[in-house]
Amino acid sequence: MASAEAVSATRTTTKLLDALRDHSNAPAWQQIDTRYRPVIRGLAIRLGLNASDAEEVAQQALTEFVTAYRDGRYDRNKGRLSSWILGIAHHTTLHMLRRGRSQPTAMDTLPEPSDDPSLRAIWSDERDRSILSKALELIRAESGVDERTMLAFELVALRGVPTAEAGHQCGMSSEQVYVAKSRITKRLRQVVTQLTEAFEEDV
Amino acid sequence: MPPAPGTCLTQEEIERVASGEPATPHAASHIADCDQCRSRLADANEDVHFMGRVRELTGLNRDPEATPWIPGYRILGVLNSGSQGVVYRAVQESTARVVAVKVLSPDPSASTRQRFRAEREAEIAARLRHPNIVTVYESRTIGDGLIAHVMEFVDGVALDAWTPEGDTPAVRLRNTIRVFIDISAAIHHAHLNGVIHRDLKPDNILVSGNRPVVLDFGIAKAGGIGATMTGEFAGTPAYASPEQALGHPDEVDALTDVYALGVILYQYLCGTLPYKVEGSIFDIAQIIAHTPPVPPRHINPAIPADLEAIILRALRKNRLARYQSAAGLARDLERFLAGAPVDARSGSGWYVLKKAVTLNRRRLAFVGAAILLLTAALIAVIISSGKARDAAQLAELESAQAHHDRVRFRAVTELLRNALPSSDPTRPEIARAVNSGLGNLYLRLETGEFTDEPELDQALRLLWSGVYTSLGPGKSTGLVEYAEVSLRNALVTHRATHEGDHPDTAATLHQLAGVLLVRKRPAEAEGFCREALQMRTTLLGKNSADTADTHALLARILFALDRPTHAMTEASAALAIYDQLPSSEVELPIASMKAMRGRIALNAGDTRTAGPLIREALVLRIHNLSAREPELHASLSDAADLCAADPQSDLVKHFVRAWPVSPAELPSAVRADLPVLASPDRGDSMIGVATGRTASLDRLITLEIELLGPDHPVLIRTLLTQMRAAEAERLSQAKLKAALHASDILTKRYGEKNQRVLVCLEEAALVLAHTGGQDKAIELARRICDIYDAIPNSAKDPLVRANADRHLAWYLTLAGRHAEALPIWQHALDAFRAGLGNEHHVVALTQGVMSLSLVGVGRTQEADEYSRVALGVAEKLPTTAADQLFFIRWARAHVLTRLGRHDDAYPLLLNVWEHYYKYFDPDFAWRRELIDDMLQIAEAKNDTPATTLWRGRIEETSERGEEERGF
Repeated sequence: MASAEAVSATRTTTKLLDALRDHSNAPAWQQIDTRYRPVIRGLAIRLGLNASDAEEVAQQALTEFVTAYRDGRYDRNKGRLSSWILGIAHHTTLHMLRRGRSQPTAMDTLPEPSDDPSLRAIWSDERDRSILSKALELIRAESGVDERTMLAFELVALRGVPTAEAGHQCGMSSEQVYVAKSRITKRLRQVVTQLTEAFEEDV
Repeated sequence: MPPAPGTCLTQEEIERVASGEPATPHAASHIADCDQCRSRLADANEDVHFMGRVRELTGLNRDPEATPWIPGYRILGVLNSGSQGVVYRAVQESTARVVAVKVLSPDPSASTRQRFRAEREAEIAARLRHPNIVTVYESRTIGDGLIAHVMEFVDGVALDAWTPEGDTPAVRLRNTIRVFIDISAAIHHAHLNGVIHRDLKPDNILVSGNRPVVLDFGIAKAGGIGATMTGEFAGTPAYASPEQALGHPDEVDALTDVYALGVILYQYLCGTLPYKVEGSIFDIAQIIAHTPPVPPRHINPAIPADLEAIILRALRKNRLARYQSAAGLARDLERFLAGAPVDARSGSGWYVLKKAVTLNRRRLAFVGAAILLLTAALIAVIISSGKARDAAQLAELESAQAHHDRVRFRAVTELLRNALPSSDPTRPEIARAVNSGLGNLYLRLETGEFTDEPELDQALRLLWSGVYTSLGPGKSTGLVEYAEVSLRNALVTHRATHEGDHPDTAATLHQLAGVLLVRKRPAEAEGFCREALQMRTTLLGKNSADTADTHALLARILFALDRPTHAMTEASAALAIYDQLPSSEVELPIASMKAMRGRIALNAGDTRTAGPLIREALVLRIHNLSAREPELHASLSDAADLCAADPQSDLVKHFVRAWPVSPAELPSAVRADLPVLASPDRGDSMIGVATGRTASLDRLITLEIELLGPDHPVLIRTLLTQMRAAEAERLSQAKLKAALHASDILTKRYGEKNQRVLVCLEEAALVLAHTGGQDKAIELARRICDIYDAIPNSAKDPLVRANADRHLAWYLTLAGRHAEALPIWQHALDAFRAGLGNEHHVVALTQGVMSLSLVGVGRTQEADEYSRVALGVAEKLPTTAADQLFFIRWARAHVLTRLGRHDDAYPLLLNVWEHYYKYFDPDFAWRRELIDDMLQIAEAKNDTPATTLWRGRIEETSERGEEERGF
């Protein structure tokens, strides 16, 4: 189960876009959804929305993308997929900010792809955050990673707990904690690299 | 390959080198020779780099003390910072516009009405559009109760640093006056819109070229002088008006701003203030209220006489003698520029429109900052003065009256304890708010407001100094200074009035000693305290509660003086008296004495003596204090130290249940929780904010259970606190656990059918129903109905009962048990109709939501009818609350969806979704239902992408329930 998910998570964006041609290809649409929803949500929060509004923006932006794609309004020659989605997400977020609350986004024209560098930077952060989150989730589900090792890693590497204390909590020696941390870090690097390649294949 | 010297490095050694620590000689030489370790080091180096980015992404590197994070803005730097808040230069990320962001905290002591008013005023101020008023783009809460005002960035200098253009003094003067005309016009514009500035000073006026811009409208806190004078007395009370200085907040209005403009203009032209502002706060209030300004031409003869008259007119002590509006001042300045005769010299001072002022005042007046405190204080005054007299004349401390007084005094203390919610040093605004409220009282006292009623005057002095000595240093920051002056003045009066010993004199001496102790001057305190003790022993007897209090105070003073043996003696004397008094009234003083004796023994290494004392103090404080109180924390901390010093102590087994670490580690584990316990809940029912309070409170509850047993009623207090904390962190299960535990204790104590259980049961049922525990919710709702049924008929309210039915029916509906729900819906509906009539929003709500169950059992025609009628009524009535309306709309949409009328349902559904999605808890069954309806419509339309998206939303939503932030 975990490995099947891992495979689909690393499917490249080009393959994904090809699959989207078939409008009834639910798994492909789902991939777009799982891949971009958290990124858009993160972006919207960074631009000033609260969590619920951001969630709403993600839904609206994805809906907008779907509609545009289905109507054949998406032209790959005009920009990368991520730029398109970023453009739509930015537009939807601004709309929400201006209205103060959500309204159906009546977009007459599809927003232009966005390559504003500061927006890009936020987008990259959020994308990396989402990839990191996905990677951790995949690693947790991997066989061969026991809970204690994972916990030791999380305590030391993600929550900044001192090594000795983490060892105490997990019932491990300091050296064991160091080894656990190093092991998971390596694995995390691998998975993050794979996921990032899949994401950015259309760069 | 020759073998590398020594053994290979441990992972720890590798990582230490990778993280930049200097390598040990062994490590350095080994790495040079060992390929494997070298490659491990290279790998570790990459890990460090990679984890750096991970930390950045997870926010682990973010320094909470650093610049605030305001979503949508990038902070560029600090423009200036003052006691009111910090102003940052920032860029709005979406527009790349440079803005100024002022971050400040609201006044937490304000009443809801005041706060509403302040918010409304800030709102109006934000809408003020005037070329000489800074434009406020938006104001919003950014967490922690902080408010960020995003404003136009003005690239100018403060008025007092600005120099007008012009080659000659005459030209420069004209340019200066023009700027002041613009400022006055701006102020007038704000006044016309109902906004008073209240804190005008040169710092608040920036000049860019020749354009002045007034800052901070509507931001100055209500209460005027409270904010300007008492809160930051070291700053600039110089611009305060007499009515502010005298603490007449109800007179603070537009004319106050006119006065401040006068001071600012005076200072700009003369280079000095109109009067010397120095001395104590009392002196300054007197100076502002009574000292006439030095005529400007005495200081700067170059100032024209007309201009002098204008300034002096603005500076009249009597408000009604000033210009009656900022526009009046502007007009006169214009006349001066035009060479026309100015109003100010017409001698027609204060005949002007008394009536208009009265009107103005009503429209513009603002209430003082701390009504709550003053009201509480006034209640207590009566008590305090009564108490002292009775004690002296009747020496009947245990008389019914004295008892009554003590109860009321405790009530006031409890009220204040809760009204001043924090002793958290990271939230100084609370101390400031208290300052402003009690500071007003101080000014009124010292300006003789109560001289006609000497008893009230003396009682107030004693009371308010008592308030902060009894609340502890955390909550009294900044107040003690006033208290000391006030009490010293009172002492002078007492000694002059009463020959020799007198109970009022003794009380004042006692309080003064207490204040000196808080001010960390125990050596001075000792003398006053001993005098008070001698007087009280003589007048009230050796065994009076007041005498005991003074013994206890003396013990604390001696402890602070590092004379533990003497402190022990006094503490024992106090305890001996307290033991004879009704225990509920003196538990806290007893705890304090026991805690002190325990601490002294522990410091001396005598754990056998310390053990029982520390334990008893802890238990007494658990009985009497909430989880936030510093005294409770002190006891927890003492007990943890005891455990570390004496691992055989019987407290150890209790503490390690709550904090599962070794006894030696207990002190640090327990102390780590204390600041968390003291911190406020930061989230609300809509957005949870993880503070860790729920976890800390859980440990405290475990300890309390250990010490008192699981069914002790004292636990209720902490459990209720836990319910609120868990709600603020959105930890539904923890909230549920606390609610059920509390209702369990209440049930055991008061029986199955006691109303006291209701609050906890209702909360528990609601959490359960909204998090998938509908069956259990239904069980509880049934019990709630039973409890209502057990109420005697004479006391029954059919509407309250119907409401319980409505909840039960609602939970049944959520559980999909529509057939069971329907008769109960019907029952509730009938009762509501009988009590409220058909045209009522509650009836409409009941009827509307009931239609869900009608659909559920297939009675679609009726459902159609019910939901249609309900929506019609609800939309027509102005009383329908927005959330109720949306519930009814949603029910209608749901019915239409199930009827297959997708085109009718869709717009309604969208409307509900747009307005209401944010109020639904992610775990809430209805939120899921709402998405399900969207999904159903998408599926019916064969729209695969839309179907996928709404499915994605369902997954997203359920994932988000548990962990909102980070991973």
